[in-house]
Amino acid sequence: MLRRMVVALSVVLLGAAAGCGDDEDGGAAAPSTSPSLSSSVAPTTAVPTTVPATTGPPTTAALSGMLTVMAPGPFKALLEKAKAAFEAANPGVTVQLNLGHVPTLLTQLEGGVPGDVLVTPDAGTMGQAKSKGLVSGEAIVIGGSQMALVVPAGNPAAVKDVTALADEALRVAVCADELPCGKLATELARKNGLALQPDSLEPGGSPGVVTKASTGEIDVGLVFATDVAAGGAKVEKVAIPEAANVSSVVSTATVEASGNPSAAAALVAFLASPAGLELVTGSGFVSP
Amino acid sequence: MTLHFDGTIDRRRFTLEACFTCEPGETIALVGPNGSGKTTALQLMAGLLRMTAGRLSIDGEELDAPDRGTWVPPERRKVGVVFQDLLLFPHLSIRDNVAYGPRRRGSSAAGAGAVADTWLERLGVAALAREKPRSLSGGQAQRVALARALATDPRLLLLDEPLSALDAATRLEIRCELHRHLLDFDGYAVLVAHDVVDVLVLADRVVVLDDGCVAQIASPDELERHPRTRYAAALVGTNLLQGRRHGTRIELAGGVEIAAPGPGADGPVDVVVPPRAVTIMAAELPPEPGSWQAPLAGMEAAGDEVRVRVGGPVPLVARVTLDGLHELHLSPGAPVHVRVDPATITVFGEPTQPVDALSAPVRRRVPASPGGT
Amino acid sequence: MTRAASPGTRAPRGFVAVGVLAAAFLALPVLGLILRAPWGDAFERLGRDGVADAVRTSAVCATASTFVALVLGVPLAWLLAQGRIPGRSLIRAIVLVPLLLPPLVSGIGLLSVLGRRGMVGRLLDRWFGVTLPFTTAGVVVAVSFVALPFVVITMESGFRSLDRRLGAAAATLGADPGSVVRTVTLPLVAPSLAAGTALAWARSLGEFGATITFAGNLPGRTQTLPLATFLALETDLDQAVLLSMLLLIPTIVVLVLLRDRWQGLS
Repeated sequence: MLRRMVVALSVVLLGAAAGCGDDEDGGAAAPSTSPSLSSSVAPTTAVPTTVPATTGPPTTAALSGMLTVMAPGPFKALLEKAKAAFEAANPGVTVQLNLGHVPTLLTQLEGGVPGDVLVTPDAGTMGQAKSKGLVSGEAIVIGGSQMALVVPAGNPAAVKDVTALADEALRVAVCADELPCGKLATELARKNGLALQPDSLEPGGSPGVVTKASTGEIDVGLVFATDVAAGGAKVEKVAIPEAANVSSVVSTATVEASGNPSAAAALVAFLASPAGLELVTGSGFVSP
Repeated sequence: MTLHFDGTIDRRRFTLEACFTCEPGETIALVGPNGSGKTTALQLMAGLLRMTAGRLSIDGEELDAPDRGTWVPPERRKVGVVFQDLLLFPHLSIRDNVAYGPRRRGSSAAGAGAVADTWLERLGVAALAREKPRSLSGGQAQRVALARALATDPRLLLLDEPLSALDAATRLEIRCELHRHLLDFDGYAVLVAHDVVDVLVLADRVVVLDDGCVAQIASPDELERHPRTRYAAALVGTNLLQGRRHGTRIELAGGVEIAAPGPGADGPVDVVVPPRAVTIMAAELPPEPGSWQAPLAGMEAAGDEVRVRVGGPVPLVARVTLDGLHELHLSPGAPVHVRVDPATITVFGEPTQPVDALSAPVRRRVPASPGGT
Repeated sequence: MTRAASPGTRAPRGFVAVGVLAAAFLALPVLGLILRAPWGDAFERLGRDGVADAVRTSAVCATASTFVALVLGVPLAWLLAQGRIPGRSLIRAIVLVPLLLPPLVSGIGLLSVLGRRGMVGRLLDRWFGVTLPFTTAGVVVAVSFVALPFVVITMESGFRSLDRRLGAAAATLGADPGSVVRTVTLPLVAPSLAAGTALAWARSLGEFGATITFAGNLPGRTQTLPLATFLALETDLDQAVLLSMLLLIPTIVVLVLLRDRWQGLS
C-alpha cells in the first residue's frame, strides 16, 4: 500500500511539475521582449551601462562587499543604471540584482535567502514586507508608477481613452485583482466611474497584458506605463491624462537580515538622492 | 463444385506458386519443409494475404482474382481457421469464443449462444463453457479452437498444424476426434501437417510443397510408395535416390551402382529404398558384392531399433537392431559397408529432376491431377 | 521478508536503500505541503469567492479535455502501432512535443494558430465569428493539447502489446475491421485505456501555462484551479496551499484506484 502510494505521488508530482512548474520560469521562455512576472530569476551579473552625468552617489569611507537588491522584474532598466552608478562610486561594492515576482521574493527572504535592499512597486507590498518584519528602518518613496493603456501596434480598435476599458465590444485585459496593478486597475475604474468588462485578468501581471497586446489577442489593456516599452514595436501606448490616472508608490528599504547593512543603507540613500531620483524619473516613473 | 487454387504471391523474400484443387468432403494435407509456403497458402485461402496473380475460387465464386481486381476480405469468406497458436480470445469465455463467429455473422446473442453450446457439446468441452482460455489444457484448447472454427458452418476449413503442440497421448486422442469430424464435414478441408501419421490418418490427398512450388500431389499411399522430394521421402520414412538405369544396373551418384530389381527402360530413374532394404556392415569384414563404402553420419535410437544415417554420395537412412549395432562397433565418421537389397526397392521411370542436377531442389510444376508415375 | 524469494527477484545490493531514498525524495515535499495546509479554517476558506467557480471550471475542462484527447488520441495511437504509415517516427516525435515544451510555449504555439490573428483562428473568426482565446472552449483546447500525448503514448504501447494475429482470427470469424476494434482490440487494451485516461485527466487538472497564455484568466469562465492557486500566491500563501490540495487529492485518489494498471505507460 505504501509502495503504491509513493508511486502515485511521484506521478502527481511529475504532472504538477510539468503543468505548473514552468510558471516560475515561463517568463524567461516567452518570446515577447517583456519579462513577465516571473519568480526566482537568477541574479543578473553586471552589465556596464553609461554612468549618467550627474552628481555622484554619496561616498562613505571604504564600503565593500556584496549587495543583493530584490525588486520586480520590470525595474530592471532602472536598477541596472543605479547599480552602475553606485558601483562606480563605490568600487569595493558589487551589486547583484535579484529580480522577480515580488511575493515570491518576500517568501524567499522569509526563508533565509540573502538580500540587502528591497524595492517594491506599491504600498501594499511594502506593507506586507513590513508586517513580516523583513525590512528595517523607514521605507523611502522614490517614485510612482502610473498607468497607461497599451494597444497593439496600429491601434486597430482606435482606442482613445480609458472608456475603452468598459467597452464590451472590445477585447480587454487588465491585471488580476490579486496583483498590485490589478488593485490599481480597480482604483482607476472607480475614479473614472467605469464598469470594467475584462476578458481576462492576467495572472502574468502588467507584462502579461503587454504580451497579449503584442500578439493582437486583445484590443486594449491597462498596464503600468513603464511596462509598455518592453512590448517593443508591436505595441503602442495610449497615455492616460493625469486627472484620470492613478499611480502606485514605489519605495525602497533595507532588508532586516542584511549581511551588509552599511552598504545597503548607502544604496537606499543613493536611490533617494537627487541623482537617484533622476534615474527613477528617467526610467519612466513619475516623481514621488 | 470445387475449390480451385491456382496462383502466385510475391512477398519480400519469398514467392509461392501453387495449383491444386479440392473436392467437397475431401481433406488435403499440405506438407513440406519449413519455409516452403504451407502457411502462406493457408493465409491466402483464408483471405489474410492477397495473391499477386492467379485465381482462388470456391464453388464457382471467385475469392481472389487480382487480374480482375476481385478480392473478398476474410470476414466475407465462409472459412473457418484453426491456427497453429489457436489464438483464442483471452478476454472472452470459452462459450463466447465459440459464439463469436455466429454473432459476427448476424446471429442474435441467444442464437449464437445456442450454436456455441451445440458445438461445445459435440467436442466434449461443454463443462468449460464459462472458463477463460488461459485455464485450459492443450487438448481442451485445441478442441475449443476447432469448435470455434466449425461453429460458423464454414465451407472451407483450414487447420495449421492442429496437433503439433500436444503431448503424445492427447495427440492420439485429438487426431481420432479430428478424423471423425473431418469425415462428417462436407466442405473443403486443408490441413498443414509435419507428422506422417497425421497425414496418413487425416488426409485424402497430399500436396507436397518445396521452396514455394508444388513438387507432388498424391494420395497418402501413393506418397509412401513414390515420394518425389527428399522431404516427402523423409516424411514417410523412406529414402529417395535419383540415378540412371543402364540395363540391369542403376548408376547412382558418386559412381555407386546397384542392381535393378526388374526390367525397365534405360534412362533417368527415381529409386525408393525403404530403410529395411539397407544393410550396414562393419568395415573390417570383407565387402559383399554390390556394397560400397561410406562414412557413418549419425545414429538415433527409435524404440528398440536404431536409425542409422549413412553419408557420402548416396545418403541413406537404415534401421539396425540394437544387437546388430553392438556387432558393428560404430562411431560417427567411421567407414561402413552399405548394401541395398534390390528385391525391396522400387524404381520409377519418370524422374523428378534432370539427371545432371542430382542435388538441385525440385522446381517443376506438377499438373493438378492426383497420382504420381 | 521471511518467505523464499522466487527465482530472479532478489534485489541487487543497495536497490532497496536507493528505492526508499527515491520514494522519500518524492513523497516528503508532498507530505510537507499537506502538513502546511491550513486545515483549521479550511471550511471557511473553501467557501470564499471564486473557489467554487474555479473547482467547477477545472472539473468541466479537465473532463472535456480528457474526452477530446481520447477521441483524437486513440485512433492516432492505433495507426502508429500498426507500423505501416509513412513518417511514423516523425509523427511520434511530434506527439512528444507537448510533453517536452514548457506549457507556456505550447500556449504561444496555440495562439499562433488559433489566436485571433492566427492562421486558423483568423478564419474561424471571419467565417463563423468563433474565437477561442478567453473562452472556456479555449481552455479545453489548451488543455487537450497537453493531455493528448499521454493518451497516445499509453495507447500505442497498449496496441503494440496486443497480439495482432487475434485480429486476423477475428476476421476469419466474420468480423470487419470496425468490429475487430470494437470486440477484440479495445477490450484487450482496456487497461491501457484506463491508464491513459487517468493520466490525461490528472495532467489536465494541473495544466497552467498553456491555459493562461491561450485562454486567459477570468473567474467563472476560464479561471481553473491552478490559476486560482497561482494568484492566491500573491496575497495568501496558505490559501494557495489549500487550493493545491484540491488538485492533489483527487489526482492521488484516481491514481491509487488504478493500482497496477496505469503501468501501460511503459
